[in-house]
Amino acid sequence: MDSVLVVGGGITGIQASLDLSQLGCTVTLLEKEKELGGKLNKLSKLFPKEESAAELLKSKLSEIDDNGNIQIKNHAEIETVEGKPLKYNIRLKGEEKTIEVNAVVLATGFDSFDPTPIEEYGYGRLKDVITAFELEEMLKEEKVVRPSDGGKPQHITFLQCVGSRDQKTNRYCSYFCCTYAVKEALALKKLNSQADVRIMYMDIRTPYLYEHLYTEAREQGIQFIRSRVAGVSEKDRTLALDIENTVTGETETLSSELVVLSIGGIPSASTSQLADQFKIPLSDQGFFKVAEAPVGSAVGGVFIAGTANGLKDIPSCLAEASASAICVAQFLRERT
Amino acid sequence: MSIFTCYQCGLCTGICPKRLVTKYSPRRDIENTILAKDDIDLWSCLTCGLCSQYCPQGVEYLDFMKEVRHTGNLDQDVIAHKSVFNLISQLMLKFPETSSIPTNFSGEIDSKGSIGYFPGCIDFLDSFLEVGINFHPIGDAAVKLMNKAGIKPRVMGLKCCGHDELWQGNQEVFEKLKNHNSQAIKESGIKTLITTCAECFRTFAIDYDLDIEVLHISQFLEQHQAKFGLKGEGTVTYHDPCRLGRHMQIYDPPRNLIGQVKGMSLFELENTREDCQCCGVSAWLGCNSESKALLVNKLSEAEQTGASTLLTTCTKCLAHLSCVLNEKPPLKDFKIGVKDLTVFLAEKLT
Repeated sequence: MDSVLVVGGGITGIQASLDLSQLGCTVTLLEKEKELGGKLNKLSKLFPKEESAAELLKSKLSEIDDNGNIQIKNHAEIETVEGKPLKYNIRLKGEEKTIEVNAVVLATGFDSFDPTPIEEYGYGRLKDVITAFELEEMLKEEKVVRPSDGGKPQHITFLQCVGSRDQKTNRYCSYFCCTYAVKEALALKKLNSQADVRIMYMDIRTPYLYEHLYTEAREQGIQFIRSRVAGVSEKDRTLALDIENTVTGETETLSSELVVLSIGGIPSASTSQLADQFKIPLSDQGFFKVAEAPVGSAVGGVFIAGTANGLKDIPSCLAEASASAICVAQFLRERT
Repeated sequence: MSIFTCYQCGLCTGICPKRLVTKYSPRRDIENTILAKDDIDLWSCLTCGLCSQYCPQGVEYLDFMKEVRHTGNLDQDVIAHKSVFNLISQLMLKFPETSSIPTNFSGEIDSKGSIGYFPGCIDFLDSFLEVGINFHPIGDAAVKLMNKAGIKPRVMGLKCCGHDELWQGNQEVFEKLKNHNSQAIKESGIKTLITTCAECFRTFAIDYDLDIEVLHISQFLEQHQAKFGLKGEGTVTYHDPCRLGRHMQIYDPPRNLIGQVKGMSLFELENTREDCQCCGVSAWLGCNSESKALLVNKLSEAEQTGASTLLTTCTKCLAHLSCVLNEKPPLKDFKIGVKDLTVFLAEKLT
């Protein structure tokens, strides 16, 4: 039986493992945290169908539990990689015995962009400036409050492109932030229909099947103000945003009780080390480089799926996870 | 990056110091230029460089302004002090053999030395501005400190550096001044050119093509700081001139020098270093109620630090700030004073 290593236990790694198992492989699934799930553990509802992230994860995990071919290793990190495609010997940190595998799927996901260095937005300094991921956790509890005083915010403002499309942080568009901001804005309206929700944007990018969410958000009265916010400061216990509304050309200071930073993503911390270990190159953006679409790396037998090769939405991650399983099976059939 | 990479996000306008007092929008200027519309406001920009520093696309707004102003016709009424400083530059070109900036300073001078010092327009400011302070002592202080460092500077009798002409869009006059000065510098054989004014410094360092070392005096004095033995008492704050800070990324030398004065403390402004707010005027453009409002903001910010003196390293910032302090009747009951860093340091020599 062919043996495959899947690195990363988020939704992509889970799906890849399930598909590989169905294709007749035994799978070792590595997760660096204490449990599987990755980003899904922190998400509330998923676009576009408001599916519960917890439910989705639960159903996938029960499939894994019912599956005898997947061995899960939590708190696991790779120490050394020896050998070559078709026969890799992998040693995990703190373990003596190596694992022998025939192929590898890297599904290490992404890290959230840390907005602290963008000092003018005040994250870490102004309590009521939070990230969209922090809002997501509040939405999960259906309790959205101002961290400073526990009060219910009436005016909530999203700032788009934080750590994306910016020369000083990341040049690329992070792909998912517009859609998740629209989704979160709609969720806020659902919790409190009287809330004033604004999205400060440069371009709204809700690709392909997500356009209707954008339309719905406009229908629901969410305000879209075309402006990249210059700075956030605190005045009389609310937040003040300096902007130019680029549609009207007016310069103004908006006030908001809660500011949500729509942060993008960056390559996960382990990316460059894994790239060294498996001898695969990185893209200009620092993610694993796809040499052969959809999920092939420059090294035969090493495949890269999900946001490890570039930022994308969950449906695309699931598709790439399945693709990587098929590519592994094909590779092993052709080479053995 | 050129203006054509602009995404029209408006961050520039949101951060522009002029937003506080006018409807000026850098974004709109870019949009109208790309669309070849006539409606371009060429003269409101302070060229402080704050927008370029934060532009997500890295648009070089300063380069754009510098270029686009050549295409415009500046209303002479917009230039402060009846354009007297432009006339001085033009007269210098008219009588090239006889006219240059005065070079008479006390201290030891080496007229054949390899380290040149250019005092800029300080003596002209004394002649034509009544702002409650004298500018000539800046040159005396510079020579005194350089002497203390064991150097006899060669005071360079150049013509005006052309900074204001350049930023007023008078490309032709600027080029003539540049050519004349570049030639004179080359013939002098100096290896280093030091200026006390941040504007002269930026102009020689970026807008000229000199193949010698150009230093602001704060950089030069920092190299010799151990030789001074500076002593004083009290507190100061420091204003980063746009031309020294954001244009040239020089932030530490002035602070390190202030740190050398035993017994004195530096209190930083709320908006400091890269985020320091423009004094309010540049290239003598638009000295009006708007610029005064910005100058008053700057002085108020300086007072809030609790310091008794606001130091700076640009002769023009000093002139504009002193002008507002000297306004009669007073615009505000300011307790703070302003001073050039070089003069301040020379006073603290022991």
